[in-house]
Amino acid sequence: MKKLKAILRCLYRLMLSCYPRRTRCAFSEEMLHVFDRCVLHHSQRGAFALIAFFSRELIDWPFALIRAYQTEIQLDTIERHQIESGMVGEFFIESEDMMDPSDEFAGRDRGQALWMALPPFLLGLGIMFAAMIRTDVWYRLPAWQLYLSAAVNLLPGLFVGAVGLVALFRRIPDWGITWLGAAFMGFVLTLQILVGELADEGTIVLAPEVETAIGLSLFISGLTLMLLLAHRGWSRSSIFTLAAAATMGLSLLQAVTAAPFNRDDLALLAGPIGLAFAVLIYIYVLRQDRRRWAVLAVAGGLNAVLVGIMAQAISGWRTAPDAMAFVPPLLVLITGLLAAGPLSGLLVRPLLSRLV
Amino acid sequence: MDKDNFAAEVLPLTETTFLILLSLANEIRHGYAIMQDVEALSDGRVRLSTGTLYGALRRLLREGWIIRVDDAEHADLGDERNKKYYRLTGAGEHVLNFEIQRLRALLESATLRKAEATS
Repeated sequence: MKKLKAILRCLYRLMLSCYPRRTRCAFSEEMLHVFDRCVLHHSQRGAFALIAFFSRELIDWPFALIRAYQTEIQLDTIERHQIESGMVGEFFIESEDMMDPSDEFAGRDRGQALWMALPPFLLGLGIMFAAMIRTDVWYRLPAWQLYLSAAVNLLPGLFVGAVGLVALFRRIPDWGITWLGAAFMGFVLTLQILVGELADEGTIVLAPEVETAIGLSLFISGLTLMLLLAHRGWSRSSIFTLAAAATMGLSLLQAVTAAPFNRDDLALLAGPIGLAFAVLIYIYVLRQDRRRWAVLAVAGGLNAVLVGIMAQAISGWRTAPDAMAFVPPLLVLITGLLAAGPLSGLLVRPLLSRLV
Repeated sequence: MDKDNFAAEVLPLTETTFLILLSLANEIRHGYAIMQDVEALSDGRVRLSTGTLYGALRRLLREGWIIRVDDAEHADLGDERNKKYYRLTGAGEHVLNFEIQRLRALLESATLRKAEATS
C-alpha cells in the first residue's frame, strides 16, 4: 500500500505539472495537500477505494486542464487590456512571479544569451572534429580512429539532449528553449537514421503503420511544444524553431560524410556554420523585434546554403537528371520549420483569445 | 446593477458552485474540508475531484464571491504546511441567497403544481 501511495503521489505531481504556470504557483501545493488527505482517507478503506479515487482524479484531469487553460487565456487577455490601457489593476493572484504577460525573455543578460546560443555551436564542433579525426574513408580506418570519431560526434549531441530533457522537465524555462529545440530535432533525426539503418540491415523492419504512428507522434509532440511556447509569445516559439532548423541544417553536413558521398571536407564547415547559428541566436536573444526578423531571415539563408552544399555533394556522385529533385522539398521543409515558430507565435494568442 | 439584473446575470448557479458556496456559508474551510462537506451536503452524490474543486475555487475568487485567507487558528496541529482557507464574501453571500430564493420559488411552484395534479 505504501508503494502504491508513493506511485500515485508521483503521478499526481506529474498531472499537476501540466497545469498552467499561474494555476500551479497559486494552487499546486494546496492541491497536493488535499490529494494527500484524500489518499490517506481512501487508503484506510483499502486499495480498491484508493484506486477508484485516483481513477476519478485521472478521468477529471483533462477537463480540469482545459478549464484551467481557458481561465489562463482569459487572464492573459485581461492583463493585456490593462497593460494597453495603462491600468495597473490588482488581481487576485498575489505573487509577482506568477505574472508573465511580457513577450520578452525573462532575463536578457549576456550570460543567458551565450548559454542559449551554445547548442548549434556544440553540434557543429562535434561534426567538424569528428570529420577531422577521420583521415580516410571509414572502412579503411583503424578501429580506434573510427570509435574516437563516433564518440566526438555523439558527445555534444548527448549533452544537448540531456540539457534539453532537463529543460523539458523544468517546464521549458527561457534558458532551455534552444536546447530543447536542438534536442528534439536531434532526436527525430537520430531516430530516423536508426530506423533506416536497422531496416537496411534487416534487423528490425517496422510496418508502415508503425512508422506512420511514430512519425505522427513526433510531429504532434513537436507541434505541442511549439504551440506551448507560442502561447508564451512569438519570440519564444521562434527561437525554438530557429534552434531546431539550425540542427536540421547542420545535420546535412553530417549526412554528406556518410557513404557513398564520404565528403569529410564539407563537414569541416559545420564548425563555422554552427558558430554562425550561435551568433544569430545570441543576437536574437539580446535584440528587439526588427533585428529578430533579420536574424530569422539570415538563418533561412544559411540553411539554404547548407542545402546547396548537400546538393553539390550529391551532384559529384550522381548525375541522373532527377538527382536534384530533393532540393526544393528540402528547402521548403527547412524554411517552413524556421517560419513555423514566428507564425504560430503571432497567430496562437489572438486565435485563442477569440475562441475563448 | 440592481438586484434583479445581478440575479439574472449570475443565476442559475451550477450545482458545484452552489454546493461550494453553501459549504462556506456557515464557516471558513480549507480545500479538503470543502470537498468533504460538498459530498455530505449532496448525500454522497457529488464527489469533487481536486481539479474540479480548485478550478471552481479559482473562478469564485475571480468573481469575488469568496476570498482566500491564511488562518493559523484553523491550521491542524503538526501540519507544517501553511493551509489556505476560503471564506464567503458579502457578494458571495448575496449570490447564495439569490440562488436559494430561486430554488425555493421553483420548489413552491413545483409543489403547487403537483398538489393541483393530485387533487
